[in-house]
Amino acid sequence: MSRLSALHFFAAVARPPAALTVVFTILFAVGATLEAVNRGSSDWVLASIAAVQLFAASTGFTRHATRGYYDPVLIGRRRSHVALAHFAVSAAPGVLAWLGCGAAQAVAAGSADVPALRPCGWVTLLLVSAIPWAASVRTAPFLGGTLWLLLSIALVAAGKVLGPLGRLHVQPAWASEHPVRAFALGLAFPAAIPSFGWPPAVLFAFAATGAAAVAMGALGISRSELPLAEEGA
Amino acid sequence: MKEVVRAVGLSKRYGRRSVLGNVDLSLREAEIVGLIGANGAGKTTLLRILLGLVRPTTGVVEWRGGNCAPPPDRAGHFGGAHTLPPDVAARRWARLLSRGREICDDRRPVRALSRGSRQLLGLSAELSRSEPDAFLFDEPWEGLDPDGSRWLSQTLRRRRENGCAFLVSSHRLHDLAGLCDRYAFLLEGRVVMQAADQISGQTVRGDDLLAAFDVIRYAP
Repeated sequence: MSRLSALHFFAAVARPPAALTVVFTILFAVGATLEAVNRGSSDWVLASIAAVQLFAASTGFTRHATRGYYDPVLIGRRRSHVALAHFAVSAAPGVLAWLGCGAAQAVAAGSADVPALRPCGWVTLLLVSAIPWAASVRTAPFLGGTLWLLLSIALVAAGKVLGPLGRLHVQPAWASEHPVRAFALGLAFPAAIPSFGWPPAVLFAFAATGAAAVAMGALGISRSELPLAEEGA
Repeated sequence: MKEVVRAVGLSKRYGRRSVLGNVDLSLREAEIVGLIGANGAGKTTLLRILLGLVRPTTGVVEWRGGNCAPPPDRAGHFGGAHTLPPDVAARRWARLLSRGREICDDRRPVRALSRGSRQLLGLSAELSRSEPDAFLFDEPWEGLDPDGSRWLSQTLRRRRENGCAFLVSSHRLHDLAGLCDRYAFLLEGRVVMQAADQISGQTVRGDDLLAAFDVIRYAP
């Protein structure tokens, strides 16, 4: 008899809410239509997918695991494998929508060199999937995305984001001259990352941050105690 | 009979609250051990420590082969109807756990089922698996109707004959009575184990278990 696949299990049990999947489907459809009508006009759709992914990937782990929902896949398994499967399933709807838009952009442009499929697109996808997922592993679902969005809104309201983004727009070399500020800017407003050019060092820092978030989330799951919530522990 | 799992000196504290203290317990091939204890005695915690879901504060768990957690897919567990994910369709859950076998055709989500139906779904999905050689069940008779209870007891007996080991916690002493080879009484965080024939020379009845429980509880 075949072994229970953690991916298969989480795909059945821990999918992001159906409403978010519907939103992703609509965004993909809008993006594909825009690209068919007017090439290069779907960048804002990518930003929207990134914003929705902040919530979709924040599925939460411990809250469900301490209710016993994940027992069949946790018993006798390496927790790190379980964690990666959970991350993959949590991120999947947003990743599929992103790839769909990227494919539409690539078909319209006749080239794979489009925002969604450039390195800046991949790191955006990694950041907006990994950080909210890791933040919600031991907290409530949606918490990671909510906190990040509130931080972004607060920074925009405080005038910390739009000015630097404007400078980056008119003077692409600004990111090379101020890599630390550019990195902080990208983290504060990740949905804007695909729209700008970033030096390799900053892109690497984004990717390393995303990978570190996945590792932290996996570590959180590996070290979790999972008593049943009703035990009051 | 070989030991499937052995726990030595297990204790568990949550902050200042001690849940288990110095528990020794073993489960051997082809036997059913009944775990009996009052509410809050630590039965669920003990099962989850044995399964590797909770780390003991002290002590060790050794599964066959020396691992502190069961080998993948060699242990089955059902923690009760409330541990089934409520939004998953019953049919999908059953297929998932039984690795694709059609043991339930109810397409309703788990939350739409009655408590007894959820309990039966969880148990039948677990017991449809052939690869585990040990099952740890927490209050498996809870919510089952008489037919369900009979099915469960018969299934445990049949699987025991095939070499499976069961550790079954339950408040329902009359369901455990006559079924188990040994009984583990969990009292104030420690375990006292007794073989069935130590409790009664005849078939053990619920009253015998209750009497044994009282003797252990009030022993000086």
